[in-house]
Amino acid sequence: MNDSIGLLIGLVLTLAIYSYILGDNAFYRLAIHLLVGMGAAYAAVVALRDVIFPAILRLPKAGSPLGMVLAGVPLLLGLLLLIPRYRPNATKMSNAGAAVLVGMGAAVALLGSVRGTLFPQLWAAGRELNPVLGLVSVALTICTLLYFHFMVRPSAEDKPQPSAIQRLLGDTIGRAVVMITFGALFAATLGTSLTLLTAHLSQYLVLLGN
Amino acid sequence: MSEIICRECHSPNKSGSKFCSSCGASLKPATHIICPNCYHRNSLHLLYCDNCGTRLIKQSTPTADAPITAEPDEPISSARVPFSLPTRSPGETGELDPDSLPDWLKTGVADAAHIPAEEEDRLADWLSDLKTQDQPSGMDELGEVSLDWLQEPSPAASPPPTAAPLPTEPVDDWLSTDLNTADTADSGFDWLSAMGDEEGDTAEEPIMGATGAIADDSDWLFDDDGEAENDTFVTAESGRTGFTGWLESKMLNSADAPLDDEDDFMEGEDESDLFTATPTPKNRQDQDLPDWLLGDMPASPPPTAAPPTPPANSGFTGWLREQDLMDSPDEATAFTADTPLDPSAKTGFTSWLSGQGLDADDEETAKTAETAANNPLDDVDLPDWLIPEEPVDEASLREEMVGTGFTGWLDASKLGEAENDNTAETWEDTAPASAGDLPSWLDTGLLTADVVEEEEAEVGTGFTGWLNPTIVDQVEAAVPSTPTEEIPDWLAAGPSDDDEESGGTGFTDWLSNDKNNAEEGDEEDEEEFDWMNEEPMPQELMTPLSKEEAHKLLENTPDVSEEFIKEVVDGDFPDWLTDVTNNEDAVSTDVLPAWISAPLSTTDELELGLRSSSATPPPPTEKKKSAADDDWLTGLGASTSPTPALGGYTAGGDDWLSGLGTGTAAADEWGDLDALIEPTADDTAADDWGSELLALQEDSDDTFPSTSGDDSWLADLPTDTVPETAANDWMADLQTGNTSTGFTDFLSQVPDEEEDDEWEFGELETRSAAKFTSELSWMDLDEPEATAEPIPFMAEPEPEPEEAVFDEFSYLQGDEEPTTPTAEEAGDFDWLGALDDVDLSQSEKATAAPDRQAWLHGEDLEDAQPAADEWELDEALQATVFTRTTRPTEEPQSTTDIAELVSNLRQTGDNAALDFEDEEILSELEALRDSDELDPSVVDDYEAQTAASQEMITGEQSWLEDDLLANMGITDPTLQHKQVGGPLDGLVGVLPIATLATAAHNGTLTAATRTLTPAQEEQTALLRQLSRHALPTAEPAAAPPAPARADVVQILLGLLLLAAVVTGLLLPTLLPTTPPTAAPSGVALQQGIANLQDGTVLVVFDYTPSVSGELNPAAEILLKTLTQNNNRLLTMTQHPTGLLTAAPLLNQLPAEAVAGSLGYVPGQSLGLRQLADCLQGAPCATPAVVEITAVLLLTGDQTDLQNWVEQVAPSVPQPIYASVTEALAPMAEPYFTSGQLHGLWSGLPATAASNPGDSAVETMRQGQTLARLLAAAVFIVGALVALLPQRKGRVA
Repeated sequence: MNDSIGLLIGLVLTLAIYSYILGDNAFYRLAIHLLVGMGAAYAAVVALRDVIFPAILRLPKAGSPLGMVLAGVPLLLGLLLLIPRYRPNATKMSNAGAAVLVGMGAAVALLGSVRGTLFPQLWAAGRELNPVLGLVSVALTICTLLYFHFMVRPSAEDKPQPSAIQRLLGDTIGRAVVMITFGALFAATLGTSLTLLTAHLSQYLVLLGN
Repeated sequence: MSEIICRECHSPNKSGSKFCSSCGASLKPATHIICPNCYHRNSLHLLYCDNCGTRLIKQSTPTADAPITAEPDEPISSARVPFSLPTRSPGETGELDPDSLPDWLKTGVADAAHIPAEEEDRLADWLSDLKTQDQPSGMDELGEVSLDWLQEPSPAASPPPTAAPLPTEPVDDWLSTDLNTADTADSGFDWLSAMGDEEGDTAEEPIMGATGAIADDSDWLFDDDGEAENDTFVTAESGRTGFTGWLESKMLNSADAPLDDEDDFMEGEDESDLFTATPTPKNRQDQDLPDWLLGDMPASPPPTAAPPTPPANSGFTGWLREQDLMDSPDEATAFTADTPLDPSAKTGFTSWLSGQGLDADDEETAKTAETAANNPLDDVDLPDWLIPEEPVDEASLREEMVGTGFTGWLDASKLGEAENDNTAETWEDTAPASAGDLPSWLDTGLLTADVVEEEEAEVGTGFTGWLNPTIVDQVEAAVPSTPTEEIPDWLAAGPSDDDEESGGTGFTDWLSNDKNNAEEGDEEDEEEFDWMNEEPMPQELMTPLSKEEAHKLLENTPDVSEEFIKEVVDGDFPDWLTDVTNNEDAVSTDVLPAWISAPLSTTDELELGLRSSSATPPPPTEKKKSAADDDWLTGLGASTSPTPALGGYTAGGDDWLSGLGTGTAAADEWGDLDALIEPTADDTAADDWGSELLALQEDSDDTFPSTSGDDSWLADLPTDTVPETAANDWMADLQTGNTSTGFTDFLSQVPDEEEDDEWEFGELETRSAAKFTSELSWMDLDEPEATAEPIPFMAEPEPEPEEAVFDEFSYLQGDEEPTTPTAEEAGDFDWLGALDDVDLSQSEKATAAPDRQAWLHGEDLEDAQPAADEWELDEALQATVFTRTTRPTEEPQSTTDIAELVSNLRQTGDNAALDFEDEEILSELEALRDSDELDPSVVDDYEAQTAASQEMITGEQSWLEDDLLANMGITDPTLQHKQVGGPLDGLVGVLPIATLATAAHNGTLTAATRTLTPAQEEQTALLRQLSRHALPTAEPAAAPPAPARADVVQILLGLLLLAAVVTGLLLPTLLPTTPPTAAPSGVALQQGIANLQDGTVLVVFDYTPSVSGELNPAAEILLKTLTQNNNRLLTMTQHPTGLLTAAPLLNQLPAEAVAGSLGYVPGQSLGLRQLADCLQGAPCATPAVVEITAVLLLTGDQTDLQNWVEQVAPSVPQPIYASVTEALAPMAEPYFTSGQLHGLWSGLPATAASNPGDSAVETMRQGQTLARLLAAAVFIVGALVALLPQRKGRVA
């Protein structure tokens, strides 16, 4: 019963979101707001339950002052992020927590990108046995980079215009590669969507079949 | 330093000034004269407005209204035509060189010692012009007239007051000059000789013929009653008649004159004594006086003990005296030997008349005789009416300047004073003077300088004194019983009733009419004068005849004298002479020439000498009274009648003077003199002129007894026959005394009216007759019609060279003494005719005569006084002339002299003229030589002026009156700049800015160098772009798109997709498909999960409920696999909802399968980084982490996948399997390829491929097939549509 109510509610909400196909409507908004609100609330509860409270609970368990200071720093930084919400003049204090968060995240992301994406991908590309595909992959990668380079794109009159080769490699080939990639992504996304739709419909059909 | 005198305030200004520094008036010479009435712009030479006729130049004195002149082609015009003074045009400068004027004209003081010979020559020349006119016939009658009485005693250089008789030899007199050479037949008419022609019935006797007085009435001088109807010269409209009235009017008008003018006019004592230099009766006797005069003359008075007074050089007589004195020392000596110059002695014609006992017809004369106990005239057979009534104190006379001229003679008190001063004795002593047989009234002209100086105090002499109304009153009172026989008819004749009605005619009437017409209008015509009853004229008003007046008078008299001659020829004895009779009851002004009959004074105060710009018209009643009683002159000639024999000169035949003014331009010019010169000078001129006429006539009367055998010439006059004979005798006496030309010459020079145009001086020639006549409108003479008839003998005058006028008097300068006619020559000699030839040879001497004449005509003066009235003209002349008294007469020969001359001239008066003169003078100078140097004083003056000007410009403080400002309490420095002078005079706070405003400026500013930075350049470029490209205009927001076809398509597609999915779910076998081959990644994942045995697998649920539909099927498969292989599941999530989403899956697993949960791991990459560390063995809060043998990542988020791949995958050795959504497959596949992911399932299709036996997944995949086909079809259709050509303007 509970699953059926949940599925029914979920069906209604799904149709509400699906009503967006008819345009922005209250059902859609209602569904979105419920999703966001419930997701935020759930996130907050999860954060408190899984992050903040465990951190607070770990302070006394740190054992040493250093451990406590170290455990308390994340909490302190997290509290500093809350200060601007109430004391606009204390923005600099909040910036410290944000800076640590962004800085450290950027650094970790950068390092992870290089180490986890760039080099493994480059390495993976070089390991291909078919050199033609490898050259094609390299060429398409260069063309894609050229396309995203501003110099090859048409600009104002006073700017230097790209040469014909640049326009060919970047504007033509690189642009096509990007479009194909985006097309593939879109298709994947569309497949995901259809899968999700099908999954939901299959559940509803199962519900209805049951 | 020359200056410009402001015509408004008379303050001096620097040369070159444009505006008066005192009053701000413009100093520029006017170019036009604005009519005060109609504001019409008239030329400068005009006297009356062309538009309305208003007089443009203010009248200063009534005498400015000179006698009218008739049309040139008309001998005598009875009409009162407009008269214009030939004044100096304002814009003209002409010659105004005082040096060219005789001193006696400049100063009015005849100093014989100072009269240059050259000027005397000039005077003689222009006087000689007076004689050049045709003399009327009938001079034969004059041949019998002795002119001896006209001879004046020889002047002496230092005449001591002595009673010694004069030399018996004839004295060269101006009257006697060249008389012998005169052609009696063709010479000018001698009116005096005509006077003696009592018959006057011949056509050859102009006197009689012209006037008709003698023809019809033998005693034309006497008979005035009943003859008024014949007096065509009656100025019927004249209210104030008589000469006295004329004089009176002048004085009245001059009453308001400034004192300065009076002072100027009466400048010097000599002027007051012009007529005081009177020869004694004894001296007169020595001069062969006529019997009719000598008979009644008193015994020669003892020489006066008074020292010789300065010469009374003013006046015509005085001037003549000077001329003789100049060059006739012998005469002077002789004269002084016999002439006790008693200051109080009555001299001249008046004295002579008084000596003749002209006491005829007035009972009041007795009273005068009684009151004048010490009057020496008592012993003389002087007419009682001529005896002065009251003694006059000499001191008072001097003080009041009385006794000069005609007016002075009129002053009774002065006459009385003269009597007290033993005038009679002097008279007696000089009466028998026979040296020159000159009348006493001419003695004044023979006085030497010293003698004249001795006679300075003499008063009451001359014609003026003789005409003293008081004397006349005395005559009337003291000699009531005097028979009329003793008095010439022309003298005894009083104004007739007609005369009263007409206002009198004759000289006085004419003068009065002129003035009245000019100032008072017609209403004055009815006024009459009573000058006989006039009060003694104040001495200060008595103006002697100044030289300039005389000069002008003589210069302008040609026409007048011509008329004068006409009158005489016509038998018209001057009316003013007839007025002597002073018959109140019988005085007729009709006989007087209209142009002479001046308006009468109502107050009987002859204020001659004073000027007044605003003459106050006397009350009519007074005028009438004076006209009725006092026009004694007019009555004298009232008995005249026209003489047909004289060619129809019937109008005003007896008004011999009328012709002077009515028919000739000379009269006008004469009148112009009054306007030009100072009014006082005018008066003096008139007096002198009149006095000279009277004196001449008096002398002529003096000759009557000689021919008639009657000592009382007056007794002969009343008779019908005597006057003519007496006149002849008188004329004969004139001839005998032909050494003096003077007035006779002057008369002879008077041209007739036809000669007016020819007889012009200087610029007068340029004036047209019509113009000239039109300018005489002020005269407004109403002469009888008969006067228009020409005089035959004057019809064709012979023009005389103008130079001869001045040469005429050259003998007076001593150059050449005129030859004295012998007694035989004087007998039948036409003395007037002879005058024509006097020193004509000397005409070449006066080369400057035209200019002088032009000046005397007044045109230069008019020019010199632009926009000024006559008053100013006179004033300017006065100032110019009189201030030049002390200047040497030598011509400027050097630059210094010229500079001085210019400076003096400018200081004296007219600046415009002087400026022009400066130019003329300088232009006439010779070119400078190398050795010439400018006079240091001139240089100094120029430098001083320049410095002063510069100082003014530069704002130096010299022109600021700080002291004055301080006194005014102005201490503010900015307010202490008080403008002094100029239009801003008196303003405070005037700042000098001229220098700063006009100074040149040099630009010193330099532009600072600026360097543009790249940023500035870029900004500049941007700004340039913005400036080049127009700003985009704001476009209205597009309206919300209406439900379009796209939306329908979307709905259709959406519904179609939904239907496809449903159809795929409902009809899984609708489209039978084979299961897809599993991808390596999927196989790897399946194998890797399948290979995990009894380990701890970290299952990461990093996906949200949104993708749970896709991942949950894979998750169920994987979790089952893991659970089946006894793996424990450790869960975690990076999404707060990840665990919530995984909860239904975990709930399906056995509880021992789930080893724990890491929960929500925050911090994305950081959390994964830390997790990775934990996975590597680092200490973590969850120790199960260490047991993790593989990671199964269930995610639908790229970041999560990336973070796991990047943060965890590289550092942990545990394989990471991922099951991602199909959308994330493109991202995750490369990681599988790279080995970072050990197995991957990407979406439902991969899951289905890996688990071909799972029906749920296969159903879902089969259900998606239709939807995928549908989506593919839509994409293909959409791509085809996108490839189709789009229509313009349609937004995709």
